[in-house]
Amino acid sequence: MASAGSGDEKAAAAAMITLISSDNEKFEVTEATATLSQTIRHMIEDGCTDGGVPLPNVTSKILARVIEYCKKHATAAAGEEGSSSSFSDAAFLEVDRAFLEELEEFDDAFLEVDRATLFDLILAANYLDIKGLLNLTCQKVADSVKGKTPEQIREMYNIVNDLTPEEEAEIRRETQWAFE
Amino acid sequence: MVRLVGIEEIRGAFPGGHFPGHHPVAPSLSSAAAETPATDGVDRISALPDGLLRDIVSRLPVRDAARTAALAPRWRGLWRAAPLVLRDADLRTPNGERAHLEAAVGRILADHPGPFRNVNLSHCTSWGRELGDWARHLAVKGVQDLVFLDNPPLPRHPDDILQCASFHRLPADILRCASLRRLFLATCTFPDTSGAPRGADVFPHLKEFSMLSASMSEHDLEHMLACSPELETLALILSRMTKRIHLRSQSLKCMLLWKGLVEELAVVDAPHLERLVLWRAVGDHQRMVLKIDGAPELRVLGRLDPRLHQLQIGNTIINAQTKASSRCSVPSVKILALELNFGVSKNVNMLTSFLRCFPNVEKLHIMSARDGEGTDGHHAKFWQEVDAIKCVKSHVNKIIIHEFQGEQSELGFVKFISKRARKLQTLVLVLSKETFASACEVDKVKCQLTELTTGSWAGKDCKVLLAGPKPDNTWSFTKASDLSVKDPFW
Repeated sequence: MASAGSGDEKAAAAAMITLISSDNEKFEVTEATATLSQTIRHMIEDGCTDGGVPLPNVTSKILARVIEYCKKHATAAAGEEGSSSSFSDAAFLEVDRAFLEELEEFDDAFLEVDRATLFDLILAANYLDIKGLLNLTCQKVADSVKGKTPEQIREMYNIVNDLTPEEEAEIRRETQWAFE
Repeated sequence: MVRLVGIEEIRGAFPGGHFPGHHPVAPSLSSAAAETPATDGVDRISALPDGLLRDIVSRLPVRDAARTAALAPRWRGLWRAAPLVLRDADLRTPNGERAHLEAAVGRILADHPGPFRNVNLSHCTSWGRELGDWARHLAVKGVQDLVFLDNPPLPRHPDDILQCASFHRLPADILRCASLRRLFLATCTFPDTSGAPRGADVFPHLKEFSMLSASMSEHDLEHMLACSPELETLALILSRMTKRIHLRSQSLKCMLLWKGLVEELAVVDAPHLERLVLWRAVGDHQRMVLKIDGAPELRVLGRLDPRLHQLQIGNTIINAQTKASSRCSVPSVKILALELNFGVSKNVNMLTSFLRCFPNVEKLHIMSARDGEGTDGHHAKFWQEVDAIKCVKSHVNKIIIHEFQGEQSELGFVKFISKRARKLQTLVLVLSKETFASACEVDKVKCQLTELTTGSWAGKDCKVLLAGPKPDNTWSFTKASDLSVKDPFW
């Protein structure tokens, strides 16, 4: 784990990438952070990052959050790589555990956002192809729906029910087992 | 300079064994922010692209997932268009009848067009026509991850598997699920494969195959191995096999034989096998023959137990008199785990013979066992006089003794390695629960160790760690077969 910091520094020395939000704000990040996004990884591989990477679908407010997530998780990935060569032992297990717990706490805190931001994060994670962030945010939405009746979900998410009563009755018949 | 480090508890490093799909569910952390309706009245969720909505729907328990169809027209076809994730546990209702549950499972398997990403049936007992129908749906609709458990209670005691003579036989349609990536079967009998299609296209993607408290013939296992060109993990847990397992697989990386009933396990041709985990035999106390022949990549092996296993390498049966030789050595093994009673001369004799078979071991786990046999001495003289053992002399850098009690017989071995293990960097002594519970015993062990560590050690700068017992002492088979866990013996 001691190599976590140095791994990040090494990457920093190697290359910085400039990301440009839809409202033209520039963010300098390390390649290790940026490449958590498969979309950006492919751009780097294709050599089209000179002069910055324009991200017309992501606002500066959301991009700042996405970068915050990527920074944290890139450090985690570097830490894992650093320890992979050595056998896990008592001391390492302790450190790994503490580190994973910290990462989980970070994720929980990261998700404490309003509804609009949550959906913007989902769209950004999808566009940038950041698997971990997409998992985290979609799971958050799924958890909020779990165990609720259709009426409760509609109210929660402002979903307008424009099914006719006949259609709704038909759906309930088709999947009767789900409504019992 | 040898350093004695104080008691350290290795917290939570040993999750208990659990059944797939029964992972503890994390509490749902819906914050107040996500629960309250957005004040602007905008429906952001329905505005997500279809792919993302399907992703969200397939994360829901099946009942919740299907109910989203009634939200609005936008949602109507989503559940059917998303890959099916079905855990029958999610369909149970308090006081619900099993017949009811099974009817719902039948409806879902029939109604959902597939693909079936994950189907976990562990609360049904449905034999006869229904199960045949289910198996057909599973095959036709491309099930990828299937967990199937017939519902009589799992044997409480390992010896009970001897009594489970009347497992139901699974329908042969299971053998037509070409999309399978993981198959976990429990409390059932594997279908008869004679006459079933054979070849690399039967299970072209199957990576993991596990059987828990199930039974399978030698012929059927051989068939599975021949039909699964990508199989990496084979786990047989509490399972009843016929007498022999002859392992031939070009892809297998991990084999787990956990409290199984087998007379002979022969690794005949497994060029990529990295890990072989054995744990305790069951039933009559006949020893199992372990033959290692074609396993050039085998790195992790254990727990070999001289009381339970008769080891044969190539054509040589290893006994207490076996001398080191290239004919009877497995040079690839780096992590070795053993279980034995240090107080029994037969055991310590075999310990040295076993160690000679694995000349390049770097990390050695020994479970110090106490059994009914009693002890026949401290064997201090034996350890003083024993001939050089290559792995101890030149390679071992970490030794972990589990269930350590500070007995004279254990200390004899510690003394031996202190004098002989030149590369040793860490010695971890994990105290047994009983020893750890008594402050007086712990002090005694500390005293003995302090005395030992003040002497000269072959391994310069070796650290000696005295650790408390594991809070949860169950050894998880899921962890043992998880290749991302580098050392499964902790």
